[in-house]
Amino acid sequence: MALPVTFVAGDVLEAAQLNSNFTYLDGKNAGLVCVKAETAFTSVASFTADDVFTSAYSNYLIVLNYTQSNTAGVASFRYRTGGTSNSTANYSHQNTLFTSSATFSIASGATSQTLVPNYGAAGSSGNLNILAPQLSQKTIVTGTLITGSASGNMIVGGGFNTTTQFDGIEFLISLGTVTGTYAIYGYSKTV
Amino acid sequence: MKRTNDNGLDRDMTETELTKYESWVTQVEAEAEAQTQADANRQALKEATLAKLGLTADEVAALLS
Repeated sequence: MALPVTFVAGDVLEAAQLNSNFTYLDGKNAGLVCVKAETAFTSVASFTADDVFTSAYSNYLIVLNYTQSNTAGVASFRYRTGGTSNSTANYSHQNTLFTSSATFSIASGATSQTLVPNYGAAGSSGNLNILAPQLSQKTIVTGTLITGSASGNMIVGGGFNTTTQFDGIEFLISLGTVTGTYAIYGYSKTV
Repeated sequence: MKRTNDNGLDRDMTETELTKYESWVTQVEAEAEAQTQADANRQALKEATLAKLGLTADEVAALLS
């Protein structure tokens, strides 16, 4: 949708016209709203982000970029509520790692949401969509990660199989440490 | 001591956090081992089935294409 008032070279700008445009722009919602600013972590085995999932947004985007000190291990996450990670056996995933061939990792009843199984593919950068963590329905994750040095493309899909509502997330690595950044955005529900 | 990033702050894990983390590692390694075993079982079944049929994997792929 165009601005209420547009100008061409030589037009006289009137305050009311500018205010009309400012009012229009001020009322627009961004498509993505940052709910957790880019956060750095250094040589850690886990990191947590609390109070990031709220009723303001239904769905979220996590942008993740890290290197890993070990070339093996499992990268996973757990949802959190009130600062406590949910470790119940309600996570399931169906992940595929594409290299020169495809490797599948499928699990149900796991105690965390596996992102990168033990494929010896260290470090990942990519994005995760977390769908409906604050709603009383199954929480879904979808995403794509490039594993260490772009050696593999990991397609991530999974869900938490109850209607528990979450407000945070904990990332975990089973071997060594990770160093990198993450940021979290909410998808706007309105235009 | 393992370290964690707590909502933006790098710090040592508390004893409670370390216990939970080590418990998770044990669980996830068991899950990974189960996955590895399941993959091996599936591969063994595939090879046994191909042997029964007297077909190669390429020939089966051609049938299914």
